[in-house]
Order: sequence, then structure tokens, then C-alpha cells
Amino acid sequence: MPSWLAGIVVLFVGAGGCFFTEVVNEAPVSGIRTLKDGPHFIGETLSFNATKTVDDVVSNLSCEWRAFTCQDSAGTNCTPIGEPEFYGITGEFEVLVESHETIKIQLQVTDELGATRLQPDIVTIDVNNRAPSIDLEVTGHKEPQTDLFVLYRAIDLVIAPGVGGGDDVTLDPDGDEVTFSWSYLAPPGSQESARSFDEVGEDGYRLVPDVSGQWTVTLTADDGHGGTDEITKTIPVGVDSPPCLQSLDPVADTSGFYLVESADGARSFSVLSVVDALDPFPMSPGADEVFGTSTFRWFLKEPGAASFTWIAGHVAESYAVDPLNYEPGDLLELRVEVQDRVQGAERELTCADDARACELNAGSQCFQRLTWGVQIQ
Amino acid sequence: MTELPTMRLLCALTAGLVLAGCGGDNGAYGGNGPDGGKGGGTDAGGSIDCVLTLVPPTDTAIGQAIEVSAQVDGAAFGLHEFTWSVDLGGITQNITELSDPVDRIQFVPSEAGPYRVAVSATVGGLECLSATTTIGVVATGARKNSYRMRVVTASGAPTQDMAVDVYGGSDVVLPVTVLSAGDLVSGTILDSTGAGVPAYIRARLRDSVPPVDYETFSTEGGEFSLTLPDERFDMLIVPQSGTQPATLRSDRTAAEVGTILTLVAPTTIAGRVLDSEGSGVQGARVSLLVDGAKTTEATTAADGAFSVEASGSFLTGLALAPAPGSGMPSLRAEALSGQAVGDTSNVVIRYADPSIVAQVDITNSGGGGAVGARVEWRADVAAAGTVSVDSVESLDGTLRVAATADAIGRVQSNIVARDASIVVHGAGGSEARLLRDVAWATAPISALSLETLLALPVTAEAAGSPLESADVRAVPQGILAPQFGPVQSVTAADGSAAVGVVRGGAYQLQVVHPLAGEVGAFVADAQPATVLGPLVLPGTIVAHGLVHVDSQPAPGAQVRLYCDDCKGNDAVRVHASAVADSTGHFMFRIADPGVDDL
Repeated sequence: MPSWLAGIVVLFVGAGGCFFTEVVNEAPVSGIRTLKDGPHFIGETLSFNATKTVDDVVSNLSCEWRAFTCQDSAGTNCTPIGEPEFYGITGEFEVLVESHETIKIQLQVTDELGATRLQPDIVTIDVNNRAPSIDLEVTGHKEPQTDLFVLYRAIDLVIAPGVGGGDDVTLDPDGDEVTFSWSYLAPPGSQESARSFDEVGEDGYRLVPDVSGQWTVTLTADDGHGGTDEITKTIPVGVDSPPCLQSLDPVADTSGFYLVESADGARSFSVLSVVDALDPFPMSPGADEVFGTSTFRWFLKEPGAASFTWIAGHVAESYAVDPLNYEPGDLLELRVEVQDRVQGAERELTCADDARACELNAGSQCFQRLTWGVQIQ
Repeated sequence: MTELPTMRLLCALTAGLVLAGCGGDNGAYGGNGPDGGKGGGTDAGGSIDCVLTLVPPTDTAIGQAIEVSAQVDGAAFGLHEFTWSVDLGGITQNITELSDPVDRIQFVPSEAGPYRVAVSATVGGLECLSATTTIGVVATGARKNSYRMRVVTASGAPTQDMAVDVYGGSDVVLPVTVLSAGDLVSGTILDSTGAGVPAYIRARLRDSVPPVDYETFSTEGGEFSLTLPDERFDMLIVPQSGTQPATLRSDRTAAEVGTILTLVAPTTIAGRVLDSEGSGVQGARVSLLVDGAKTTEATTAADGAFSVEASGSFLTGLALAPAPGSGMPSLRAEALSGQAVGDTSNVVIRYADPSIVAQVDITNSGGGGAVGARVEWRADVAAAGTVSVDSVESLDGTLRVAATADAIGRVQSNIVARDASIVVHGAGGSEARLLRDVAWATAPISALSLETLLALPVTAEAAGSPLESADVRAVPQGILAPQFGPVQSVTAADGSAAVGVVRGGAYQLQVVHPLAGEVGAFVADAQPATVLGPLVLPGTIVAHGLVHVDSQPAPGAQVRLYCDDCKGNDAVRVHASAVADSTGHFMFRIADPGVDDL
């Protein structure tokens, strides 16, 4: 039995006579149900409907929904989001979460006779913050053999999205503006005046190391809402290794003398390619500006001479032996050494002057000097 | 949300599969015109599930639609999705999709140049190894220059020549150069007793200019190996001991190069070298060409006698180098008539001219003695001597006698030549003097003064404007070389430069600019009134190419371009060179052949 009918019956039974009664329309009783449990985040659409509703006379109820953003969790300093929306008792109210502010939902239920509760139903929803997620891309010139970044050469560090982060614009799942702070730790012996760590563009730094060792760079990201992320990269730095002669034409075979015939004219002895981190040869057109190219030093041991003579000023990749400058039967030795750019002092070969081939380390097959035997005919 | 980690894991796995054997784009180059190449798999391998191959067109022209199709190879199956891009110099071109799924597109080139086509694809969600190709579109009315492209590989594949046409008017794409890996042939060099002979071995590609030589050295046991193309060769074997003569084997196949070669037992040929009076010349080095191959070398005794080992029967040439300081010319002959020689022969080589004492006092431009000045008497001496076995043949000679001026600037030397030029290089490097064809026998000079080097003016232009920052290089020719090295300068904003040259000297001038190309000029007799220019540089284009050995890229391969129909020095001059990168791609600048006015 409905409660209102029970009340009338009681009134009749208790009075025992005939009297007039007026039925009082009571306001409906309602509540707010949040259709999805928290935590809740920016970008999410919140859904609500009205909970168990009681009314005294009718059930044709109207729900007025309002949403607010509030600067505090108590929901006292709030700003409306859009206009009120009206639904029936089974309707769902949706609100898109667009900021970190607390969401306040207000429900006012009215029956068809106009009865409504004095105090509307209210729920507040706290919006959780998600921290940014960052990574660091480290690029620079590395030694082919050791994979170390080359000393004195620029190493670029560029902010990149981390796993679970946002897109490459915001780096923050909530789309918050992220501020970054950079720091680095130099190995022992580094001098502040000799190294550099400078901002490049809006999302990167450039490190130019002045000593070998493990450099560390730390990047911290802060979204301004308590969310932070930090990443540290260890950057191994080593000296620029000497270049290696890779292929020559003809092959610098030490077992004999190549023939240069007068009838054929001058013959070129050439370096075809050199392996080096910064100064490879040849350098392709349009290559990275940081790349230089190897240079060569040529030496000639003239017929009957006791030692090699440096061919001053000749730095090209090949040297032509002109038989017209010699007599048939003359034996020469032509030597090429490769050099790259060196920070500071000249690089000296460690081999003896009379060594026909000079290898960086025994068995390394990294030759910095090779020699051709040449016979004029 | 809970599915996300799983999705990431799958993505990473997919990438891993693709990357496992990728190593880069499946690059390919389609050449201009009908030789356009077909893209081929490169270093793909391992667990790649699908690989793309681009099929470029066989013919292209401005305004003519170019159709490109992609083929998917591999084990992957499922829905095919393609993504295409076409650009010219970084500018994206409009494309039309011709099928669904889009494995064919077309675009219409509006101008000449290399169009880069890239395609990527997924098959059943699996990312395939992508592919690129570059398609050349030749300018309307383009002229062409023909070259021989010589490719020297770093991988051991034999050097090979290719004919290539370069069209003008825009950057070009050369046809894919596919080299043969060659065949490894092995052989053994034995002497007449069957013992191994360590030797220098050269197989020269017949009729190649400049010569293409395949060289190696045999071991102590005489074994050697060479990688050769399927061609014919002239083979030269030069024993390293110096006690056995060289041997020629003409017109051999690659298989015939790689065989057991037994050298015949040598014949000893004796002879004498005499001066014009008939006296023996001591200390001269003699080597004869017998049947075209070099004999062993011998040095003459006090009476001028020598003996050399030969492996043939006919004297075809000789080289004679007199002792240093003798004042005698070197004698060379490459094509004698072929007089028969043998154990009983007596080869007589005789100088034609007597010795003359040349003495000159040299002063610098200030009038003082040119102390330390370097002097050379130089002459090309016609009929400098004779050689005779059964009959007498004339020999030409080259005189080159050097001396250094003493403390009063005086030089003195014996010379054996009727006429000779004298070249003096001042010790300071800024003064010199050249006197040509001084008649030392009848009208010798006894004094000369040095002169300051001439500032030879040169002007350069390109595209109708003065060319700044061009390198100007003057290389001394003839009797100035090699005592005088090249001189260099750089053009100023007005296109002018000056190089210091010796008055009366001959120079090959080269003006080179990275973008405008190069131009050469020859100065036969540099004088104060000589002006060179304006020398017009032709402009350059970039030529792209791809080198493969069979189907694999040829990194490190050196590509040299030679003029296809030139003679003399121009035939051996390298017009452009480049070295292929890790994908076999190379590019170089070369003279723009231009376009015809239409």
C-alpha cells in the first residue's frame, strides 16, 4: 500500500466521523548515481542518472541537471558548465571533463504537480591528474668500432614522448603545458669553460663534451598539477679514433712491385674509401655538415733513396706516378697515410718510419699507412 | 585500457620482425629511358615477411604519365594497404591512384629531373620492408654526352667499363650499373725446370683505354689467383727475381689466364753501349723488349758490355738509362722492326752526338749570382743514337741533366745533345728562366739572368656572368715538369685571377668551380701579353646512379667517367668520379650537355 493511502485510512479510522481532508503533494525524493567509478581524468565523459525516486502522487518526474567546475573539492566556489539540462527520470546526464577542477553535479527533481525538494541533490567529482611521460633522444657522431660518442663533437638531446605519454606536442596525457628542467653531470676533469651545454630550439639541448667518460643528462618534466617525470641518460664519450684505410686501388700488396709502363703514361694509385666517425671518405654530396673528409699524406721513396720524402701539399686521394720522370727499371715506393680532423695536437703514427703498413692495433685491420711498390718500365 | 599493453607488445613484436633483417630501404634506381632499372631486394633477409619491389616505367618524358607499380613478395597475407609519395627535389608531386588496393599509381612530370618514388605497405597488418626508386625524366631537347664509366669495386669484383649517356638540362638518373662478380681463376707460374716463380702478373683487358689491368702477385710456389670478367686479355708475367725475363701471353680468355704457365728457358743476349767515338759507356742500365716483353735488366761494364736474359727471338724495343751525371740522354724505343736476336747476337747501342761542356753563369734579377739555383738541360733528341743487330735502326732520346748553381751562381755539366733547352728555377721560388733550344754545339750561352714569374691573367665566367671563387690551376707541361709544380689561384668577384708562370713555358690551365664545372685551356708559350679568357664554364648537373654487383649493392665502388670518343690525354682524363655509399648509390657533378633551342 502506498504511504499516502495508508495516511488517509488512519485519518478516517482515528476521527470516527465525517470530515473533509486535503491531500498534500510531497516533494519527490531522489539521489544521483555516477555511472562509472573513479578515478576520473581530463577528456573523460562522466555519466549520471537519478537514483531511487519517491513521490506522493505521481511518478511523472522531471530532472533538472546542472554541472559546475569548482575550485575546491567542497564545491563552494563554482562556475556553471553550460545551461541546465532536463530529462525524464530515466535520462542520463553527461559532462565532458575538460580541466583539473572539481566537477559538481546538481540534480533537482520535480513532479508533475510542481513539487520539488528544497535542497537539490549534489555530488562532487574530483579529477585526477596524470603525470607527463618523457624520453630523451640522443644523437651524435659515434665511433664505428666502439659506439662511443666522439669527444668535442656535438651531441643533440631532444625531448620525446615516453611510454604512456601524450603526443609529441604536449607529452602529457592531460594535455597540460609541461615545463622542463635540464641538468647534466660531467666526468672528472671536465672544465666548464671547455664544455658546453646549450639550449637548441624549444625542445632540445646540445652537449659538447670536453673529456672522455660517462656523461649524464637529466631531464625533468612538470605539468604544474603535481605530475612530474624524470629521465636520465648516460652518454659514453670517447676520443675520435684514427681513420682506417678501407680499400685502395690497386691493392697495396706488399709482396711485389706494380708495373708502370712508359707507354701507358702516368698511373694513379688511389684510396677508394676510408672508415672514420667524422671524416669518412668519400663524403657524399649533401652529407651532414658536421662531417668533414679525410685527408691524405703521400710519401715517395725515390729510386736509390734511403728514406721516404713527404710530397708537400699533395693531399688528394690519389697520386699519379709518371714514368717519364724516371728511368726504366727504377723501383719506387709510394706510401699513403690517412688523417682526420684532430682536436689539439697532430696525431702521430705509432709505427716505425720504415714500416710499409701501419695498423692502429695489431690485428685490428685498421690501417693508417699502406705502401705500394712500383717498378717503372 | 587493459588492452593497451597487449597492443603495444604486438606492435613491438611486429617492428622487431620487420627490423630483424631490414637494414634500410629497398632502394632502386630507374634510369632515363629504356634502360630504366628494376628495383631489387638488397640486404633483405632473415625473417622479413614481406618485401616491396617497385617496377618503374621503361620510358619517360615531360607531360607523359608515368605509371609505377609495387609488388609484394613474402609470406605475409591479408589486406594490402599502400602508402605512396612522389617528390622532385623535395617538392611533393600529385599522384593518381590506379587500383584498389593501391598497388599502382601514376603521376605526370611537369619538368625534367629525378623523381623520387617511395612506397610503404602493410599486409595483414604486418609492415613490409619499404621501397624507393628514382625515376629520371629527361629535359625536352636534351643534348647528351657519351662517357665510359669505369667501376672499380672495393669488394673484389673485377673492374668493368660501361657505356653511359648523360643528358643535359637537368639532374639525371643513370641506368643501374650491374657488374659481374667475375670468375676467380687460379694459376701457377713455373720456370723451365718446373719450379714455382714469384712474379707480378697482369691481365690487361684487350683494347681498353685507359688500360684496365687486373694485377696480382704469385707466391714463392708460383700460385696466383685473379678475379676476372668474361673477356679477353693480354697477360704479362714479370718474375720478381730480376734474373728471369718477362713473358707476354696475348689474347687469352679468363680461363686461359688461370692455368699453369711454364716460362721458357731464357736466351742470353749480349751487346755493348758505345758513345759517339765508339768507346764503351759504363754504368748504363739496359733493358730490351724481346717479343714485346721486357728482358732482365743489365748495367754496362767499363767497356760498355752487357748481357740480358730474354724469352723470345725478336728485338721489339729497348730502354737505356745512362748513369746519373753522364750528361747522356736516355734512349727509348717501343716499336723497333723486330731484328732477330739469340745467343750469338751482338746488340750494339751507339750514341750519335759527342759530349759538350756547358757552363753558364746565372744571376738573379738584382744582378747577383743566383746561388743554389736549380738548373736542368732538357731536350727531346731526335736520332740520338742507333741500335743494331743485323741492321741499324735510329733511336730517339730524352736529355735531362740537372745541376745546382755554386757559390757564384755558376753551373757546369757535360751534355750529349746538339741543342737543348735550359730551365732555371731560382732558389727563392719567385724567379726563373727558360731558354729554348740553345745550340750548345755551335752557339752556346755563357750567362743568363733570372726573371720574376709572370702573373698570367685569367678570367672566368658562367651563365654570362663573372665567376667568383673558381679554382684556377696551371700545371707546367713539357720541359718545365716536374721541376716546377702546379700553381693555383682563385677568381675574384669580377671573375679574374692571376697565376705565376715562367715566361716561355707551356701550361695546362684548368678552371674548376663546384657548381659551374670546369674548363681547360692550353698555353703553349706564356708571354707578358698572354691573357686567358673569358673562359666559359659549362655549368653542371648532378647525376645519380646505383651500382650493383649481380643483385647486391656495391658499397665503396669507385666510379670514374672517361670521355667515350676522345684521343690522347683527353681519353685518359677523369671527367667525374664518385664512390658508392652503403646502398650502392653514388652521385657526382658533371658538365651539363645542355638542351637544344626549340
